[in-house]
Amino acid sequence: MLFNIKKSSEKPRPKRRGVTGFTHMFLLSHKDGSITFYYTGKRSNGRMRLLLLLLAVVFMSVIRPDNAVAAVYGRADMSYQKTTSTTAGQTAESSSLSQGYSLGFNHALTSAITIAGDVRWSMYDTGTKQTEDVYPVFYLTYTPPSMYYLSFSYNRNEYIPPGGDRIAISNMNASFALPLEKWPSLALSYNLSTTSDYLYPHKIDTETENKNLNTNYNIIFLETSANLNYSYSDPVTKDNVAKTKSETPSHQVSANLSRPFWDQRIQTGVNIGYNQAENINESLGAPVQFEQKITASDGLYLITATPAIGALASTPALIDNNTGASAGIDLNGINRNIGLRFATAESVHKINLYISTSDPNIATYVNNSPTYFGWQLYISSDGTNWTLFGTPTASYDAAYSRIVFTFTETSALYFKVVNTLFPAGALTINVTEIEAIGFFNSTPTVKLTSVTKRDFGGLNISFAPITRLSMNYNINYDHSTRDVSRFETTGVNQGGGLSLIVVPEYLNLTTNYTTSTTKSSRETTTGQTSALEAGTNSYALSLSTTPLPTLNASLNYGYNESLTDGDVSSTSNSTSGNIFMRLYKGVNLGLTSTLSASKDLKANSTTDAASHSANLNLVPWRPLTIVVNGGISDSATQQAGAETHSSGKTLNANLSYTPTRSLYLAASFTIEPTSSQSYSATWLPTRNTQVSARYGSAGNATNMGGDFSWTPIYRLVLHIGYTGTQTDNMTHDHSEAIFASASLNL
Amino acid sequence: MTCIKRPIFLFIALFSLIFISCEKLLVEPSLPPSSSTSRLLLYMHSTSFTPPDITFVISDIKLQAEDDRWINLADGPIDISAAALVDRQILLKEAAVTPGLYKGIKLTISTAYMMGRSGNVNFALPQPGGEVALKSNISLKPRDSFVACLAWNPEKSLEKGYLFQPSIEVEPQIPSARELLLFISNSASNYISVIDRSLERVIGAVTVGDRPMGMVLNATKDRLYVVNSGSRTISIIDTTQFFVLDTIQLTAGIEPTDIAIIPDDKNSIEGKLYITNRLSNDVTVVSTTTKRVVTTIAVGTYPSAIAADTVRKEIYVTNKLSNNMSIISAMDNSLVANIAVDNRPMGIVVGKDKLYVFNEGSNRISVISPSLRKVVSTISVEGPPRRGMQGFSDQLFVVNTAADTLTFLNAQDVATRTIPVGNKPIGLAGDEKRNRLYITNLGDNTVSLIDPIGERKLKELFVGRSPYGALLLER
Repeated sequence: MLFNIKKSSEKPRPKRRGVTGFTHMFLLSHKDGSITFYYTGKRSNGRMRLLLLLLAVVFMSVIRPDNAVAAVYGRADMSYQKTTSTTAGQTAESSSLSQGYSLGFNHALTSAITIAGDVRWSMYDTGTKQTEDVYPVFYLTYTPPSMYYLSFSYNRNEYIPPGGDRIAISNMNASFALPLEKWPSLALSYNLSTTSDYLYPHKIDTETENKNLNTNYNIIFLETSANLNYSYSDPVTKDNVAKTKSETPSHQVSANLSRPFWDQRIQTGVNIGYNQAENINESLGAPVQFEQKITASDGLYLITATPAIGALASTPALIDNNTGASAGIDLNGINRNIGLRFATAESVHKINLYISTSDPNIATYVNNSPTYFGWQLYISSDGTNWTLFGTPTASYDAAYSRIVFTFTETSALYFKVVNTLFPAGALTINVTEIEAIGFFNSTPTVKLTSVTKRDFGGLNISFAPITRLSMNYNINYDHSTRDVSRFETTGVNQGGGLSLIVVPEYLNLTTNYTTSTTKSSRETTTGQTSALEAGTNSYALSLSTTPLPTLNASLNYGYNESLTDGDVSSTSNSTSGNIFMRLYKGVNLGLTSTLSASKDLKANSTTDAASHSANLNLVPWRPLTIVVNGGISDSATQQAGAETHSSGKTLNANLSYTPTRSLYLAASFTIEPTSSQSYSATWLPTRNTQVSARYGSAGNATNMGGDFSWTPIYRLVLHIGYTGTQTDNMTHDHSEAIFASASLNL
Repeated sequence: MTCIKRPIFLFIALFSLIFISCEKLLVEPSLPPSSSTSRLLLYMHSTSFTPPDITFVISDIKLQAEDDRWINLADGPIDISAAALVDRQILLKEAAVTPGLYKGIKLTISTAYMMGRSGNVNFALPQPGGEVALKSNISLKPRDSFVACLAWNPEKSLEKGYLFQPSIEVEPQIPSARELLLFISNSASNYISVIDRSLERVIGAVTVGDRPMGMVLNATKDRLYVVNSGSRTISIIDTTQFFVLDTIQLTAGIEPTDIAIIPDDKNSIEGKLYITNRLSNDVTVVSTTTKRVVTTIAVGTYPSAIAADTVRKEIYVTNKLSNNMSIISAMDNSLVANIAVDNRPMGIVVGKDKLYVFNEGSNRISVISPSLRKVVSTISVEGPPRRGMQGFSDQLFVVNTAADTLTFLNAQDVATRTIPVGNKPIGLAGDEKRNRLYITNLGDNTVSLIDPIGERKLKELFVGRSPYGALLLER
């Protein structure tokens, strides 16, 4: 039996609704013929049922007294982490303590039946919030001959998102699968996941349901291998707060056939597949307009005190789908003009601005924007002359770390937000991404359905008439349509290659060719049609030789061109050669030279570049390895009649030294382009102890760290560690992190 | 599932009793689970780099228990050649042994000789009966794996020019510095092999669950998470002392294979694990803090490989039978995009501002921009490409599993050379400090060591059955 005893405490204790429903869990696992049962009881009956569990174990053990002794195991896991960082005189601290303890037993009643139980208690404390959960589990395993796989399970856990309230997540799963090697082949799975907070009314309350069916057959008939697959999936997401539901039932069928001919000299393969998915968006309340993200063609940014006039600089980092890295923009000043541009005019009603900051007051600043930011929204048709649209409503979405601007839907080619104020004293607020949101449907509706159909396939042929020659050709296509917004895309890739051993060991030739074309079109939110055709062509040729065991070389050529709407938009080609020599025992040298030329026809620029690099690997004696890498590069770019040059050097070395099994020393030096160095040492004074220390410096930053691991007794491991960084600047920024962990395994 | 009332509990107990009593009516299972034995891996290497050309044959190997009983480990013959052992290690025997303390190993040598100009010169054998007794201190715990290395010095193995008295020392399993370790998951066994990259030898083994496949390290590099596809669990291994700290039961998904991690923070011990499930077409998300399943995310058909970008906080999954790859946002564990690639995508690598998807069915690598979320170029290779990695100044290394080869591509994505490696190469790991590339060979139970600059194979290490994943620890 499984009992879910729930206990949580928060500082301070907020009012909350009663605990949602059930805590029973029943797991039946039948893997290669084994069945496992888990069962839980409600909290109020937990202790009684645990007692009944123990009695059941004792009773079953009594029946088989020769197997009365059960194997007991226990695990304890604790980790603590504290981070302190000081930037520009302001200090931010965070800490977390995680503990997990489990105690279990298992007992083989017979050769086919095993009884086992496990109790796991986990606690997570971040200093201001604390969560505790207890998960006792009891299961019975039955292992008959391999017939089928069956499992049911339920579990529940909680987490605390940054700046948010405690979130409870529960999962119920059911799986059934027949062994792959048997007929029929069938795999079914069902998952129901609920996520909700403890507020009333809820801010987060979603249910996600996944149903999946998969059947797969491998058939061999008259030298033909065939794989046939059908799969069905139906993910459903219900948002009880927004009162919306989305469902995407999808069917896919695919076939792969392969057959050799002429004594395996010719290998052929064909694949074909079809997928149809229906995207159903439903309002569970009044008719609504469903939202969609509108793809921008460029991000824009400039600091200017005259937002009504002037073009912004192209900033692709704002729309690179990366909310983890700063786009080089901060909000710690006024007149930040941050925007985006579309290929054609789009109707937008919301803009999300993703940020990254460790300031604990960010929600207050954003939710009181008229006081702290003073946001204004501008639109434009040419990117130079801007019209003030108004003051958007700004709110902070902690779950996604973003500022959400909402305003009356309007159409334009360019959008931007500008802050006229900024919160003085705030820690650095970096902007990472911007995105625009529009509506799928212009008039509110209760249900919106779109169907996406995709068909794909390909052919692959390889021919090796003799062992020294092989050729291959392949072609693949992919075509998909979606009725809403009349989206259609067709892609065709094809390529071929040849590999020839001209003179064994002395000359090998490899060449290949690839071409790809993608055509796509869609209807914009303003009813216009946007179409795009893109393609690439690539050629490559390589000659390689290994005349001696201590010498090899290769010469390579590659050409690549990109096409837009059928016209070549850019080209690049490169010629490179590399040679490797084993100069002496323990002395290896590799040299590479590359000449490349690229042309951007749209920007009317050409770039010629040359680079030369060397790799020296020294092993003067077995415990010591030295690797030295160096290189020089030079490039010249011509654009609009002007020529710019750039050159670079790289030089670095890595040393690693292991004089004994218990000592390891390493050092890395970078001399070019910028100087840096790092050292590390690891010492094992005993077989149960390991100590390591690290030190490094790069520019005006110094970092150091160390950790200590100790296993005083069998299955008990202790770790402590420290990492620190100091920056030699005006404000003496520094950060430190310490961690400690202990794990005990009985 | 709703509340299950008390009568159900009685039903479960009764059901259990029925099974217990009807046990004899059931067909016997194929093999009972072995929870009380240990695994002993006996390796041998030579300590000499310029040895005399001595060869000897081991006819059997015995283990001496604490109570002086001799347990037979292997019946030979096993040929040992000093020349073949130069800078190499061989696996003498992998044996299931009763847990306990073992204080000796005995080798019985049937023949010893040296190659001479006019033929083999036979040596006299140690007495009695060609037996060589070695002292050892091997402590085997239940379900543990243990590596014992026999270090042979051929230069000190001849007495008086005619008597073969091998100088062999038993090196028990001891840890090496964490920064030197390479972990290999042996998917047809249930243990992980641990290799010291400086010694280039197997030095340890860790018993995990059934059919270990994908592996991933946490951000602080002190915990190794291993997906056990057969037992549907994740083993958490301490990287300093080579033992299992804990086991996470995967309660969702069918046939988990590959794994990736998004740490909670840059230097955080904890994070979220993402595991692909081949037969249920989804990805299971597990919290390392609570060690419980958080959610499952539906992806394409037959997810074959997974990779993580910890800066973007995105997860990339290739789907073998739907010819596409899925992008999952780790911020809210939602599917954000599906991108069509070529036929049978089986591997994926996160490079610098690029993703490389290896399409085994079309001899092509799709290069994808994660910013634009589309294929920006394709690379044809001799193929068929299955897995790969990027490193050593932006070179790309591609294993062609069906062709038993490894292809090198330079920084301009042009293939420069293809060399043969072992049988069915599949996993890759690269050590830039030592200029070494490690390839696991599923078909011949070896790991190939490759010089990535010289584009040549250096040697092979013997590990467990069907080595699948390779992961090295480097800080």
